[in-house]
Amino acid sequence: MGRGTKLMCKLGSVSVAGLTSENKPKLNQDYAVCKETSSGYAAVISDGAGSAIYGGIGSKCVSRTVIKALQKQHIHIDVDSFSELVFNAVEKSLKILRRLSRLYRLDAQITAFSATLVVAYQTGDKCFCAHLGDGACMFFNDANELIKISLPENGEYINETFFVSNKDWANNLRCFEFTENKTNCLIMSDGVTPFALLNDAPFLEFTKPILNFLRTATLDEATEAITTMLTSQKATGISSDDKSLAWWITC
Amino acid sequence: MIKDLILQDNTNQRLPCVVLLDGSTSMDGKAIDNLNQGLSILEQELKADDVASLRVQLLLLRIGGHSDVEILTDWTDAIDFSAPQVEANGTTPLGKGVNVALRELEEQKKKYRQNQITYNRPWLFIITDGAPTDMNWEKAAEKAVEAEKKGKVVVFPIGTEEADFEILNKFSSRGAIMLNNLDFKELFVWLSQSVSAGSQTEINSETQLPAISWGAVPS
Repeated sequence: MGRGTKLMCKLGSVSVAGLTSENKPKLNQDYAVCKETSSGYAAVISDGAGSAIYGGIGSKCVSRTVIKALQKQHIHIDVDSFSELVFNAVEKSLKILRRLSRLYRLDAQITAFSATLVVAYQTGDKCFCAHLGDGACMFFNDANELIKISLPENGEYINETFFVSNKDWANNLRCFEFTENKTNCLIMSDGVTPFALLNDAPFLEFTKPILNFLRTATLDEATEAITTMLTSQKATGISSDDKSLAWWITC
Repeated sequence: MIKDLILQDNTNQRLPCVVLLDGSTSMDGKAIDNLNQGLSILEQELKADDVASLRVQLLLLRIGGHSDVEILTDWTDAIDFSAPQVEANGTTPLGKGVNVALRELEEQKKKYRQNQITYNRPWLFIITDGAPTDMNWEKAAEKAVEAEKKGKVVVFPIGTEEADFEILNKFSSRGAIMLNNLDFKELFVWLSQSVSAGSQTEINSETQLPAISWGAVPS
């Protein structure tokens, strides 16, 4: 497969609100998106911090700015230019958020828009991941075997992580690339990782059925089934956090 | 419907929690009886909580005897916790007890890191009816406050109505709480609810503790 040849993919994303301690839906602070680009596919999930008043706005702005930047690009790209592209897009989103804060007189520091970031990108036979904070990104082959994974990164304590609003956020941005022309990708927020990961690896009894299902389902069927799964009593019992999953499956 | 899908809680996170109990002579009588009843309630409450029973890890220490610090219950998951019987005799080596508690917490965190277990900020509950009888308690108090400042631990000093709150307040920047009428039952219900909330704290958020019905800030 040449670098310029684009494979057909099924792609989608679902984001659902978590529950409060009174079992009422929260305001969803996650944002998930998966789009076709000129030369491949890009998926982004950002999780607005629960404690940040405008975390949901932050996650939406960051995700949309990053995916827009990726949609314009890039067959001839390496991990350095990919990481620069993500860096520039995040910095742009931070500028937008500061402007928005001034314009609407929110009187908010940038930390009020705190959000994590998971980005997956395939162009030609190159795959990339950029990851800040928690959540996870997994690339699989057609046999549902793991090719590459980016795991959550927290501070010392489980309830601390890294956000785009941190002063030194770029120091904690983890990027990698690999060559593979046919991948299946799942990215997720930290509301999903408790049941999608086991001992720093994909929990196969979760990822295999999901991948098999997404391979055969239409977008509507996939969206409905994933939404049902993420809002199920079982899933909310495991994590009351917002939950997001985005994917592409090569046909 | 996604065929063969299994959702299983694969998290291995823990909330390490040390309860430092005063088992000195002055606790003899109603106080120690109520404390022991309270510990049984702590066991029941934690075991009944699906999440906390798997995530909260307890270490129970007793101070008493001849200036001793005794491990009543070594680190155990709440689901396996069995309430010990605390005896009342001897002195109140509170400083020594706090030093042991802080050291145990650091060692436990080290074990978590070695085993790739994620964890919440540890909690230390200090429960006493009096004042320290050991020489170096002030250094231990400074160490506890310093550990709090560095984010290594959250300290909750709790005293019965007879406790010396001027001294107890020195063990935490949060200040001590006075337990009313030796109501250890309500204290341990609150403690179990608090650690349950703490064990489910989400990213970048602080734990919202339940309201205190068993005590008040001493005047």
